[in-house]
Amino acid sequence: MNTLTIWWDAAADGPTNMAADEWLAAEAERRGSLLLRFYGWTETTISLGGFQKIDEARQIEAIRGVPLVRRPSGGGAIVHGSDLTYAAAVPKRHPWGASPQVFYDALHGAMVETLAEHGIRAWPHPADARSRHDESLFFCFDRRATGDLVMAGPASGTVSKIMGSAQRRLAGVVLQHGSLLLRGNTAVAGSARHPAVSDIVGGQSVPEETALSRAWGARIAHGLGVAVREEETPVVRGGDLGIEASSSRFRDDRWTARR
Amino acid sequence: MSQLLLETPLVGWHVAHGGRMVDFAGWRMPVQYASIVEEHLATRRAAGIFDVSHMGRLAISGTAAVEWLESLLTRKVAGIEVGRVRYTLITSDAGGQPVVLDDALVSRDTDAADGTTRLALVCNASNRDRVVAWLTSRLPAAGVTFADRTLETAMIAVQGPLAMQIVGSLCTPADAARIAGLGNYRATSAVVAGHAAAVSRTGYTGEDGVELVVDAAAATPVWEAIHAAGAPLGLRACGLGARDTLRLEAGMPLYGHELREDSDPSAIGLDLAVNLEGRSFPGAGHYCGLRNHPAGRVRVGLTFDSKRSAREGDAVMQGDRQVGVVTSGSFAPTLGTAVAMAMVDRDVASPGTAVEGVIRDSRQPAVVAPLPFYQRDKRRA
Amino acid sequence: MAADLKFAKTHEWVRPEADGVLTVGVSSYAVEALTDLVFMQLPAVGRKVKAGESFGEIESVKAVSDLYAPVSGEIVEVNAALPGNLETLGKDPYGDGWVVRIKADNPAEMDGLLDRAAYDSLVGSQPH
Repeated sequence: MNTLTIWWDAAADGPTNMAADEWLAAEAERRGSLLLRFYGWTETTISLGGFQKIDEARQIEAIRGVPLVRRPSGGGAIVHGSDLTYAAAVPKRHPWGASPQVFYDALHGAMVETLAEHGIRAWPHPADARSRHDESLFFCFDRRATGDLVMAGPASGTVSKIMGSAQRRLAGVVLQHGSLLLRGNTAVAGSARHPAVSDIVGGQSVPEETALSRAWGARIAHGLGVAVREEETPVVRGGDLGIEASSSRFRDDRWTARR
Repeated sequence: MSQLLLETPLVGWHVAHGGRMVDFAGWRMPVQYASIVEEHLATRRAAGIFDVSHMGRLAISGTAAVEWLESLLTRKVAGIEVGRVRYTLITSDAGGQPVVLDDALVSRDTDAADGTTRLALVCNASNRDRVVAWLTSRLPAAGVTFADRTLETAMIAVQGPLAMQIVGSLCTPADAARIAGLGNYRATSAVVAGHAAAVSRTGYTGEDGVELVVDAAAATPVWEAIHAAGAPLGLRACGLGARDTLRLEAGMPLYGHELREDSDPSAIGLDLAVNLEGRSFPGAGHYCGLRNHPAGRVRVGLTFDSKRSAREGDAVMQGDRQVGVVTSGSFAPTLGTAVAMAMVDRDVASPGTAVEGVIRDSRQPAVVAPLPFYQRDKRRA
Repeated sequence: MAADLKFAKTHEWVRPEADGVLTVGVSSYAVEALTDLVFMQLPAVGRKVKAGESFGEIESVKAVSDLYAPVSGEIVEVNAALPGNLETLGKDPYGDGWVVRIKADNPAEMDGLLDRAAYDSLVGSQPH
């Protein structure tokens, strides 16, 4: 377990991305090490938390017509397309696999430091009553879990969540994927649109996504005292990984509409 | 509805009309609908309607109410006439050192049927819990009843040159005339769009206008009626983003930014909010001392020659010396440039002094400017 | 807690009842690790499961975790009251917090599970 392996994936659709994240988790268990994948979305997509009710999504005017995919992890709905999306997987026997909060704090903490290097002040939402039962809020970025990253803005006195992650804990491995709202998504409006880092600090002050991802990966690795290894072939392009086949599960209405 | 993030009665309207919702002081509020700049400019040119229901609304009554509040506020309450509104600070000495808990508006309603005085206090959403706790801890054994009416009521601000006309069009001619005749910081009651409302000629934008308090159940019908009457004239619904840029241009302080627990009201420019003569509110002696021996930084305005502003916490520099810190900053749509309010050392506080704001890694030139940045044309049509 | 409980490495506990039926639940170690439980998805009665297969999910504010069948068999009963009262899992994980009852295909599969002492040393050695 002395490397952090990083994949740079191209954009794909929701089901492919979820299948690739599950592959990442299985691969982390096989290799016994921490893996990290950065990816994108071919079109604006809403990912729903594992237990969210599909009817709730269908009633929201602001996201009518936007494709939905249901995550294997919990949490609220996220609008993807302009966000920095990542998936990380670690074997449970690794210290970061021990309990949910440890993995959040490790990755989110590294992002706080990486953003600070770019002059952006974010901090983890503290444990408080607010972190408990706000499942009634549909969108992930309206909720606050302990360790979610927040920033002051866009107006005086407001605090906005800019990064959230969700976990799926399997028998021997933990999958965590999440979203950093680097730029606003102009394909949605109203209540589906949450203040992004660019809305708060101004578009020209937002670091470029790949540079930010790379700096974050380097900081995660540095914190663990391991080396970074970048994989050449993206997960979603690797035809022999069976991603296409396993993505059918996430295309299936029986999964998407299971609740 | 989430138990933990409070929502005003108008939240459904905001979401249905494209409101982008954010967390403000534990309330889920719209920061903007379409464009902050458009909402801001609409308010200056025609009118804006704002949901300010998150602000604390406290009701105080009883035979000893006036005397009691007099002992706790920095403005005089004794002798306040019915319909008068005063801007005041609330101080506390519970922790030893006196602190400013909040800024607020105190007003006197019409007396109750049995002749007892009724007073109202409107405070900031972010301080409501601790103001309520502080006042409750100071209640006497008898003679004062105190109630937090925030969740039973709603508050709607209508601001802009056409605000009075729009609200008046939803009242009887008699009520409309009485509202139009209100002086600044005066209040009355009226029936607006068929619902009873407390109407005060106050606001947080630098424009003419009113703030209405109605029952929570009346919030949506009244809001929709004002919106329907005003939209053809250019009225726009405005979120917290525009509320912030408007109050910043008007040089108005926001608690937590320009005004803090350890603030010296004199240094912020709030002498008018503090009556010191013969008063004994918590910390009176301390604030008297501060006024007589001014020291420390003072509040000034800063104008930048670009659209990029320094923000709260950014340093104000002169050469290598840090001379102050920004308390609020943003692009100002009416002025077309970025402005900020800052606390700076007295020796750089004269208008025209050149300084720099540190915005991330770069320095932006700025000039000290008097407040407010914007003042409306007060001649009545 | 009764001495006849057995444990799977995935933190489910098993208690044999009469007629080859086993009651299955989640160990207090696992419940504590999850915190702030929010949802639980139980299987349908009659569903057949294989040892090691996921038969349900539990969501906390932090994570979704699978529940794994400790033995192969048929789900003959589920604790329908539990998803609406998730605090019970924390308050009484070995009693009222039971999750399902399985009719085991092969009771000998229980031999492969850990006894109390072995499970305790397993969780003792887990990173906290």
